[in-house]
Amino acid sequence: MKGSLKVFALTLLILLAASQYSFCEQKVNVVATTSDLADLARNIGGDKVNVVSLSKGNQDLHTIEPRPSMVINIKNADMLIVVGMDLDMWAKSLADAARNSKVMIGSRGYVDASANIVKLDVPAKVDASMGDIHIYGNPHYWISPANGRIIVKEICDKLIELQPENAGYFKKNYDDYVSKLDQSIKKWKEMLKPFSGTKIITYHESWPYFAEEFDLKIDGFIEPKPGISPSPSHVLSLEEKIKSDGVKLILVEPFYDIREAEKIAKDTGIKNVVVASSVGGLSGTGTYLEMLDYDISKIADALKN
Amino acid sequence: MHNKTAFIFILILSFSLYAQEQNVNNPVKTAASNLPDISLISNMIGFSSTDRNAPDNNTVYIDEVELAIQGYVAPEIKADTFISFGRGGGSFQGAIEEADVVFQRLVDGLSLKAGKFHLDFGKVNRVHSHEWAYANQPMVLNKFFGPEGLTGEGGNLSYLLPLPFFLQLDFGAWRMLVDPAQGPDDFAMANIVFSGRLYTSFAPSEDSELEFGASAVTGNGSHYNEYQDDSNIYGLDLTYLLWPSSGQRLIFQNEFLNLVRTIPDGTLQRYGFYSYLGYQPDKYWEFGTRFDVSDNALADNDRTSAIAFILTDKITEMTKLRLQYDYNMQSGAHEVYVQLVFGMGPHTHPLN
Repeated sequence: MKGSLKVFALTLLILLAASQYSFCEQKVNVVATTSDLADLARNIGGDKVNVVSLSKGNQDLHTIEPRPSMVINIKNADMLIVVGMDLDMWAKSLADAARNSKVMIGSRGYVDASANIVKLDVPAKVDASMGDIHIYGNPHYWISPANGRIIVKEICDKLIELQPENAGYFKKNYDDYVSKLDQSIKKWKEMLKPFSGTKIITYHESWPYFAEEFDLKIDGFIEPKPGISPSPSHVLSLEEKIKSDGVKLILVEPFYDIREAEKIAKDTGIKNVVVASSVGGLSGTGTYLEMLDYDISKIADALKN
Repeated sequence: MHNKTAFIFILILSFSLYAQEQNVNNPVKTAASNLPDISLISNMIGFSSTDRNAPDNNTVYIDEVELAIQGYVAPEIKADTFISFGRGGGSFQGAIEEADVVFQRLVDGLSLKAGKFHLDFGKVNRVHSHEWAYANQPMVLNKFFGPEGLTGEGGNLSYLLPLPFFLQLDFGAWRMLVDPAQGPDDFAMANIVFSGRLYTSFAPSEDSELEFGASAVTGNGSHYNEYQDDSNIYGLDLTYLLWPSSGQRLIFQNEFLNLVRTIPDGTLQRYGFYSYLGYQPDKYWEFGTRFDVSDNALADNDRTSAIAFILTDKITEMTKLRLQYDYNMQSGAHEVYVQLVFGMGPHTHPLN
């Protein structure tokens, strides 16, 4: 018994030493709640950061279950990036459990990526009759590449604050990335320009920022209210609306009921496109730029044919 | 007494609704206000049993209404109050289910929680009834902890060890109050009690989690409102979670408890466990089954086992409709629960 205790104590000491050693490294430990924020942080932080995402791109961010193993990531973080606007509220319980003063709400390493976003769909009054409404507005802002530019600025500023000795490095990465993003935005706008004003349907209210940027008109949703499963009567009335309003396309993310979207598309004779709303949500969407490239190509192809 | 409680409840609710109404007219002010999160959760149950002596047989009743007021009182200091209105003696009575303040970081990794709250023992004791995956408490918890679970006034230190994996240690000291209406079949921990828990978790893969916990409480046990017994309860829990794809989830949760009571006639050793297997094919539905086996906590033992089949429709984040069938293997009783949980307002519980 005594021998076992000694082995246990020794193991604990070794693990403690190993964990302390990792703190000695100069890299900034960044934890992001989503794969999108993680990818943007990697691009700005380069080899001066270790980045972990708490969720995967094929997960519905509304329903992520906080796990104790995630707590350790936050425990060791110097910087925590959240989507904010109450989308990733589950991160709060993780941050509470991690008890890491560096990334607690309001502390130096806490980054709410929505801080400087111009918010859409901010409700004047909220109650559950409206479904799963977020009181601070629609939180799916990162799908707009213009907002991607705002997010990377937020990340860059925070990295410089945390590691001022690498300010030049982060600033250069930021400039390079924004330049690439701006070129891509120009290309994407050209691709979708012929379809300006086209009416679309989306499964969830995830695409208003994207639609606004690329001048697409969202005419309805497969969910009758955010987070509410579509009823047969809602689907019927939506199908009638699609036909009468001349809607051309349905957008659905891989974690929603794709069969329902396909059925509506088939009934109404329009196209249904499965698109990624987060990095890694579909094959070929491994980075933020790849995701937007994939989505916009799919949308343009569907509208062309 | 009841009138006073109702008056206070209405006053708090009116104030909160008034304050919220003032703020919704100006969303900018809402974000900047100092109003805590206020929510209300109701738990309605319809129950029918072939055992004609079962309490609440063939009735539909409000099991509990929970008013929660939650917020920060200072940086890194959070307070939660849960006022529960439940049925007692045929009428509704208000009681403080939990009222606590959490000092989230005394030093890195160490937090202190003080007040009245559910003890950190096992997986289910800390979870409020409206959050359970079933309509009734697992049998062993009911028999060893009492119908309200292990709840006490005191403090709990919680330390997350600085290790590369999740390992948390908890130690608490408590004064346990016993329900004055405790019946002849009821047992509960009482008087001064100490508790401890070790909780660890690993992610065997990106899509799975394996959690293990060991818990203990030591102190006095109460039967017929007497506090003489030396009583200890030890618990082990093991939970496996798998997320095959977004929205889908498999959970296999198990708790094993051992109660040791020293009574004038000798030492009682009592055991019990439950296993819950649940599958969620999408975010709206969950199918589950629970198997219970438990001794009672009394001198005359009576081991009971039961199996339950549960279907839950998660209509919204805060609204659930549940149908549960229980079969008691000793009495042969068939029981059916229909449960509706609904709520409004922002409502959170700590990671469990």
